[in-house]
Amino acid sequence: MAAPGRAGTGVPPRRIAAVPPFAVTRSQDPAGQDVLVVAGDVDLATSHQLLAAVDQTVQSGADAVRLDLDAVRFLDSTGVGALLKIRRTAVAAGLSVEVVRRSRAVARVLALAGVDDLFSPQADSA
Amino acid sequence: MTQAADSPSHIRADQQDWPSSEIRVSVPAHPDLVTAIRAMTRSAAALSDLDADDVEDLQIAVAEAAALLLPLVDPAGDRNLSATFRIEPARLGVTVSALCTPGAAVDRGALAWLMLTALDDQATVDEDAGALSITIGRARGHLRG
Repeated sequence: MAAPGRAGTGVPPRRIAAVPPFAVTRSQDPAGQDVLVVAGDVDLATSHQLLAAVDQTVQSGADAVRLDLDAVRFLDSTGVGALLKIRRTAVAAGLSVEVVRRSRAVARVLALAGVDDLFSPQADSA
Repeated sequence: MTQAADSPSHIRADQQDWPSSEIRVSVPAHPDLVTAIRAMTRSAAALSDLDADDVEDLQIAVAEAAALLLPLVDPAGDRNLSATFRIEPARLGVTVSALCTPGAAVDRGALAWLMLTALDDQATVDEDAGALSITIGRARGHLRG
């Protein structure tokens, strides 16, 4: 069946996202280091996707987990839990974890949960 | 062109009291749908003249309440998650509720509860006829002491 468009106009339907789409993109910073750029909401509905993306990065032999959370618009305790699990897994594999950039929303929630220091560049990953 | 002044009085928002100060939204109890309750929270907070920080705090608190209730939802019940917003003169209150498995209790050791109570130390949990409810709120800005 054809996708419904605006009746009688032949104009294809536009898709409008109800929420900012969640996405994780593997990128490189100016120094050539791998960075996972996360965008959208990291919450009950999407945290598992973040975990899967980081798992894939770790399995691919990355030397560290660097997360750019500057485009994350919303973070809840499920997202914080995912970040803590990422840190645990990475540290167990001998990798460091760093949040290289964070949005205001992310900074607020990490502080609220009392874990902001764990993801700073100075955090001891031992 | 019709002038605003010529509009029938029944559509003039500035001449009408609200029939009720209560807004209720109900969604299927699934993580994907919590975003709809968060969106309604944003709208209710804007109608209540909360400032940007309070709007964000309330959205987080509502998401945490949903995260606490969703695992407890009774599969034999209506499997809905509801939020009721009460826009009172001094406060915006939000009650998130769901029909839960008999004997289920909110996990007060969970990170979600710790964050929720960090955002509102007056948060309450109630049980009524099989429904668990978590109520949180924010004082409305112009009346905050």
